[in-house]
Amino acid sequence: MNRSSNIATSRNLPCRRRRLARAAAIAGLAGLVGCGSGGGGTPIGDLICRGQGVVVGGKVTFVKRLYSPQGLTGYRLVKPVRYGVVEIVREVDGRVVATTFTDKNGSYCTDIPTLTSFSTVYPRVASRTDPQKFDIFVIGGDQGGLYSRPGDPFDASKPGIYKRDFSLPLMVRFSGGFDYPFSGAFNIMDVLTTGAEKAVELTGQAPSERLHGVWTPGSVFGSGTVGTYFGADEQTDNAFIVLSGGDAGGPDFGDHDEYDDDVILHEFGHFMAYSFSKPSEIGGAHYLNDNTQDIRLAWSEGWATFFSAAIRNSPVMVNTYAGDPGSPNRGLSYAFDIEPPYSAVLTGIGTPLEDYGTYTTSEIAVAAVLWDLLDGYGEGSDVSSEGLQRVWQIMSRFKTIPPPTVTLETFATYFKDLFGPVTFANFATTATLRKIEFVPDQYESVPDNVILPNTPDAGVAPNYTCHTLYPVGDVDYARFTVDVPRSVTIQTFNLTNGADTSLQVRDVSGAVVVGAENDDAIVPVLYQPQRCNRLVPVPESYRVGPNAGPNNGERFASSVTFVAQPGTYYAKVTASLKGQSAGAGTMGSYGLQVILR
Amino acid sequence: MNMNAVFGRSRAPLMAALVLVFLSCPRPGLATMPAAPLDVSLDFGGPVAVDADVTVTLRARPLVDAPSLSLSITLPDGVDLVSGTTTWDGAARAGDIRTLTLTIRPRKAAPAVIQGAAMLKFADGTTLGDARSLMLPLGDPAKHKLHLPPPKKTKTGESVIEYRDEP
Repeated sequence: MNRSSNIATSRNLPCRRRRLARAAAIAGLAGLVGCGSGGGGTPIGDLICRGQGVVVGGKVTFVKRLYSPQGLTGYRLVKPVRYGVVEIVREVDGRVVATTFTDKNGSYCTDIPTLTSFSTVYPRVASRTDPQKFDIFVIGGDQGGLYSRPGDPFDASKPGIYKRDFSLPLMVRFSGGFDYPFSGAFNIMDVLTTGAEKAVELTGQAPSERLHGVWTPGSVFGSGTVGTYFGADEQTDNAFIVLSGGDAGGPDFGDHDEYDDDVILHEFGHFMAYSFSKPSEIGGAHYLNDNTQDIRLAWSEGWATFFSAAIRNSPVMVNTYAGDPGSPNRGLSYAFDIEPPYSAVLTGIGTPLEDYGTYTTSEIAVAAVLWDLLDGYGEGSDVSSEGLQRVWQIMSRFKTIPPPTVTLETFATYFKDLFGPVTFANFATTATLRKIEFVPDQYESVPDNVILPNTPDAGVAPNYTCHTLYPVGDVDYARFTVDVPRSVTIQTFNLTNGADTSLQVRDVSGAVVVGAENDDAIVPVLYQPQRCNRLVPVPESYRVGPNAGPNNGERFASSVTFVAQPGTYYAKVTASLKGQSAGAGTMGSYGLQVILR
Repeated sequence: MNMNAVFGRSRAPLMAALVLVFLSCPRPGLATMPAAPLDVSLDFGGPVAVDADVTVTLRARPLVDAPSLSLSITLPDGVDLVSGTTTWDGAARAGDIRTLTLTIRPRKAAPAVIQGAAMLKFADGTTLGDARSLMLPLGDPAKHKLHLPPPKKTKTGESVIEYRDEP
């Protein structure tokens, strides 16, 4: 073997020597040498492919479509296929006679055995990465096969150097002039590789699970992948990111995500959480302007959006629709920003993200708060600058420390444990930008967690008081007086940040007034405009009906009505005594009001 | 993306397998990208045949108040409009369903695609919406399916499909 060669020639070496050669290669002393895949190797840089015998090599590229917040731009970029598998296939029977992988520049080179019969072979590049680096497959079609492109054949009975470059086309042309999207599969592989490189940077190791990118163009046959989502099977350690293939109108119809790097990396964020942290995410439909989400869903989606932004070093997320400028419905592409939260479209429909990207129950708020930790001092009041490594340091603890279902509350708790109260105070201050209140309310200093002569007064309608349940286990007492026998209603209202309250009325002896306790009100306690931490109303479709969010501020509120004799009473508010409701948090914010009938 | 749409429209066996994998897995959910607050569907009202009338219905349900909602159905060549109009404009409250129904008559025994789009338009020029396409399954059924080359095997046993340009 020529030491200056980038060809693997290890096939004839004893295995031990091959292992030594491998070690040497890893140490950078020689070209890489494969041990078990028929003599495959990876060239380093753009070295010329040289060697004895039958040698084949070249460069593999794919076409990347570029986009802006308005959608695909029509511009293209030719990029190398990094770490992709190249197999040398015997034409007569499809047998693979050699395997190698492209390097970071898309170059490959390998020698193959000299064949004496049926010697016509061809190289084939496929959408799978070098497992020594990352275990990524991109599959599609009804059969779930890898995408691949064959190169021109050559005669492997004749020693020589065969140059076979691959310029993977944007579309493959089938019979009848029908164009079928192709290069996108390699963009998916490339973007997932970028994600995996970030994983190595953060953790020192590649994800251990096999990650399948699943994408089938919708094309005119309508059999493409529908929807974009992440899923996984812990039993087999297989994870998959399904990417929408568009719809049946043609290659550029509908929402197809094979070139939406921001979207692909959002799904990779879910994979990253699954692979390294396994925080048991929940799924389901979710909308950007919904701040009534299940607090667990808000966390997992917010984390994924944040991680995509962190990898790209950009707080702007784009989801393209249709094709290049001029294509039908391209205007349905949308973009949003998490620093600060903004979306022109959502402002247009009356739910600006500045106002609705709020609370621990908003994926936008979660993403924005995490981004604030990453980006140094950005917005006014952003006093956090922790960096991605610190964010990940917390995230990675979720793997081994319960609870298994993570929320931003969990993140905050671990943050405080890891980095101390001073740094946490900065985080909490920054979080208030998004109306997230990881802070005690103003009455805690009295204190208000026991009945005292100076227990704070409750607000009697039309007045009210605003509180937080912070930290976990917080108890809030508020005092009110009844002067004549009358019916009295006490209620929590305008719940935010995942609050799920429980309410008791106690008399001066501290005993619970008979019948005067409630967890979730039978009739939801309605929103009161411009009060406490909920300054804008919940959109009607998230407040009631099939899309109503669990944290709509009414559902987990508490209300007690009783006939009171003259005297002093205390409203005691805690987190739900029956355990938090599905989708609620363990802390949160709420308003308290006493209504004298 | 509405999960009902994901499950309801998923056709490929692979996808079915993946969904089953997910359903058999007790822990993680399907985590999706956020969707526009608008549900859209496009459906036939019966069997589709050449020279036979069939209804096509586009449904849109905005999840936010929509002062200007626009529905449109685009018919390809070879498909006649029998009754109805191909566009509708108006307002809708959050959660309201607006429909646009046409009766059409296909004239050619060849696959064709109908597209329906729903858009919310705002004074500042922004739009929000979604579109759906339907293929009319007419003519030779063999032409309704994409005929990819038969899969081969990699050295390590995975299926691989070789995409070649055809004449």
